Amino acid sequence: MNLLEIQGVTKTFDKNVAVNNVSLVIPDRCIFGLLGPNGAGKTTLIRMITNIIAPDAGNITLAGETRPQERMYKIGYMPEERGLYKKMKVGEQLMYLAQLKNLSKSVAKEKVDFWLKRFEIESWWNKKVEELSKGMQQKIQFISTVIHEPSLIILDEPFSGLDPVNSNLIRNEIYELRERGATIIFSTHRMEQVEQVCEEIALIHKGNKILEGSVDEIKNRFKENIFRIEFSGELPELPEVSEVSEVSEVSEMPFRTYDRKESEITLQLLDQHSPNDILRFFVEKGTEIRSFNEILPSINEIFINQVGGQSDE
Amino acid sequence: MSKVWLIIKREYLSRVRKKSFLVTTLLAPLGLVLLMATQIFFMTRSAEEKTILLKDESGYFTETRGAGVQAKLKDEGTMKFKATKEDLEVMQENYAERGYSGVLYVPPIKNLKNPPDITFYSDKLLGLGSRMELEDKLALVLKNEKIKQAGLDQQTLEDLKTTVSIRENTGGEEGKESSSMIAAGISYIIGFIMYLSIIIYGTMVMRGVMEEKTNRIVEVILSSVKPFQLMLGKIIGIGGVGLTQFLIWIITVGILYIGMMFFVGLTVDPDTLNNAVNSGGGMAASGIDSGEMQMKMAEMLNSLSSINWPFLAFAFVFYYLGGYLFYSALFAAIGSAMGDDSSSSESQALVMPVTIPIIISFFILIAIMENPNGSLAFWSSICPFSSSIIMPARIAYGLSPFTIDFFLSVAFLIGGFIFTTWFASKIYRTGILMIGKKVSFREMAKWIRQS
Repeated sequence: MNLLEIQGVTKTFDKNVAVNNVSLVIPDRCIFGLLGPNGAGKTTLIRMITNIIAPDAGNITLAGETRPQERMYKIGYMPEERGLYKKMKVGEQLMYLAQLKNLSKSVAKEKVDFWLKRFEIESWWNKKVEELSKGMQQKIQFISTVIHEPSLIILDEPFSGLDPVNSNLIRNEIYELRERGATIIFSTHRMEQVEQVCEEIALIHKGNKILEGSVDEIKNRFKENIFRIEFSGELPELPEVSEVSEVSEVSEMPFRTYDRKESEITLQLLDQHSPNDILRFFVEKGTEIRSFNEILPSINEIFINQVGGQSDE
Repeated sequence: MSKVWLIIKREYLSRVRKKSFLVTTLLAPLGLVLLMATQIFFMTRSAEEKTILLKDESGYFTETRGAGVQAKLKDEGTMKFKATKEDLEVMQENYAERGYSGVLYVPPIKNLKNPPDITFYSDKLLGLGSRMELEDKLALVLKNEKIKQAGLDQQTLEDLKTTVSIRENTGGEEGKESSSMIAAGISYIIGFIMYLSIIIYGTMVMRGVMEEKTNRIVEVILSSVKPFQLMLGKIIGIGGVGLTQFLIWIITVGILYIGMMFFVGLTVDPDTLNNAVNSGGGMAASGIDSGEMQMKMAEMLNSLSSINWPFLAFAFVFYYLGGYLFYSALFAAIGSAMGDDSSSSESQALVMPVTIPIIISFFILIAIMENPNGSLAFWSSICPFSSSIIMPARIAYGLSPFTIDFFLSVAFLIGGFIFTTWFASKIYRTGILMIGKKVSFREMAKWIRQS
C-alpha cells in the first residue's frame, strides 16, 4: 500500500519553475530518500507535501486524504533550517507545538513526558531553549517533529550539525519509528547516509524527477559490470591496461582490465559474457582466487553522473 | 479557530509573564508624570529670582523713610526691589558687581494720563513673563494714584471690583461644559499615549514576526497552521498585552479620580467652592492661600467632571484597538519581508513608510490643539491613518458621540484595518518563507499581484 501519492505536481515562482510535473509514490513504512543538489526543488516539494505552500497544479494524497488541512496533522516536519523559540521553556514549547498539531492538552502532556524521559532529559522541562547546546536543541526539535505520532515524517538534512553519538541516537529513533508504522522521507545531499538508511530514493534535478526506485534496483540499473578479484600468487600474462580495447577483442578474453594492484585486479565484463566466464578464465590459467565481487556504483557516483557534477544554484 | 487561540495565548502569556511587562506597566505612567514634571520644572526655573535697583524721579514708586528711600512696589514672586538715590550712570556700571539684575529708571512724570517710557537697564533681556509682571506692577501703582486723585473712596472702590468668568459650552446633546485648558491637556495626553502605543506595540509585532523568521521556527509552525492564522494570532495576542496595560491604567486612574473627589468633597463642600468662584474672589482678595488652592482644585475637578468619561474611555479602547490593528498588520508585513539583519539601512527603509504616517498624525494632533473642530481636525479624524490618534483627542475636547464625524471615523477605521490585514497577509505569507533574501517594495508588490 502506498502512503503518499504525488501526481503531476508543479510549482512556479515568478518565471522560475521550481518543481516541474513531479509524480512520486512512497510506500507505507518505507524510508525514502529525496535527493538532489542544492536548489533542485526538494524544499519546495516538501513544502507542498506539508501544505506550507500550495501547488500550482497536481494532486497530493496522504493515506487517502486529499484535504490539505487534514494532511497537516499526519505529517511531522523537521526543516533543514531548524529553530525554536529561544526564550521559551522546553516543556512549554513542546506542549505548544504538540497542541498546534491537534493534540489535546492532556495527551500533549503525556507525550512530552514520554519523550523527555526516553531521551533522559526530564530535567530540561523548565530550561529555556537558549540555555541548551546545539545538539540538545536538535533533540528537542526532533521530539517536536514526532510528538503527534505522524504517519509521515519528513526530515530535511536530519544529521547536519549532529555529533556521531547524537546522529546514532536519531538514526536508531528513525528505525524505531518505522517499526511502529511511520514512513520517513529523508531529504539530503549526503549520499553515504542515503545508502546506509534509505530503501527507496528519488532524484530531483532542476525541478524534474530524473530517477526513482529502490536503492538496490537503481544500483543494478546503473552497474557497469565491473568485478574485482583478489588473488594470491602470480597472474597470467594480460595485456597492458592502456592497450585494453584493441587487444581484448582479438584475444577472446571475456573482460577488459580496469585496474590492477599487487594482489587485486578490477575487470569490466564484456557483453555476451557471464561473470562465470571471468572465473573460468582465471581458474584455467591456474590463478588462485581468494575473492570475487561485483562492484556496484555508489549512489554518489550515480548522482554525480546524472546531474553532470553541477549544483542547481 | 482553536489554533489561532493557541497562538494568541502563547503570544499574550509569553509577554505578560515577563518581568519587564510589570515594570513597564508600573513605570510608564511614572515616566509620563516625570516628563511633565520636568517640563513644568524648567518652565518655572527660567523665571529666576531678580533683585532690581529702582531709581525713581517721579516719586510715585518710592517713599522717603528718614534719610533713605523705600520702594512702594511689592516684593512678590521672583521680583524684589531696592530703591536708591544713587547716580544712574554709576549704577549702570556696577549693578552687576553688586549682585543686582538691573536698574529700573523712572523719569519724572508730569502727566499721569500719558506717562513717559520707563527704562530697564540690564545686559540681559527680562524675558516675556518677567516683563509683563513688571509692567503690571508699575501700572497698578499709577492706577491707584489716579484713583486717589479722582477722589474715589474705599467703599466705591470695593463696589467697582467686578469679576466675570467665561464658561465654554460646546453645545453637545447633554450640554456638557468643559474648560478648554483642561480639555486641551487631556486630549494632548490621550493623543500622545495613542501615538506611543501604536508605535510600541506595532514594533513589537514586527519584531515578533522577525524573531520567528530569523529563528526559522516559522516553517515548523506553518506546517501546522496557515500563515494568516499565525499572523492574526500574533497581532491579537500582542494587542491583548497592550489592552491589559491600558485597562490597568484606566482602573488605576479611575480609583485615583474617585479618591480625589472624595477627599476634596470631605474637606470643603464643592457648592461653597463654586459659589466662592462665581461670587467674585472675595476670599482670594483677602489672601487665604489654602482657600485659593482648594478653589483652583474645585475648578479643575469641575472641568474634569464635565468631560464625558465613559465615552472617552470607550473611545480610548476602541481607537487603541482600531489603530493598533490597522498599523500592526502593516508592521507584520514589513517584519516578514525583513532579512536577518534588522538594523541594516535597507530594513530601516522598509519600516519608514509605516512609521511616517504615525509621526505625521502626531504633528497634526499638535496642530489641531488650536482648532479642534476645523477642517484639518475633521479630515484627520476620519482618515484611518490618523484617526486613532486624532479622534480620541477630539473626544476629550468634548466631541459628542452622536456626530457624523464620529460615525464616519469608526466606519473608516474598521474598514481600514480589515483592508490592511487582508493586504498585509498577502505580503506576509510569501515574505515569511523568504530566507536570506533582501526584499524591495517592488518585489512585495509582485507578491500581492501574484496571490
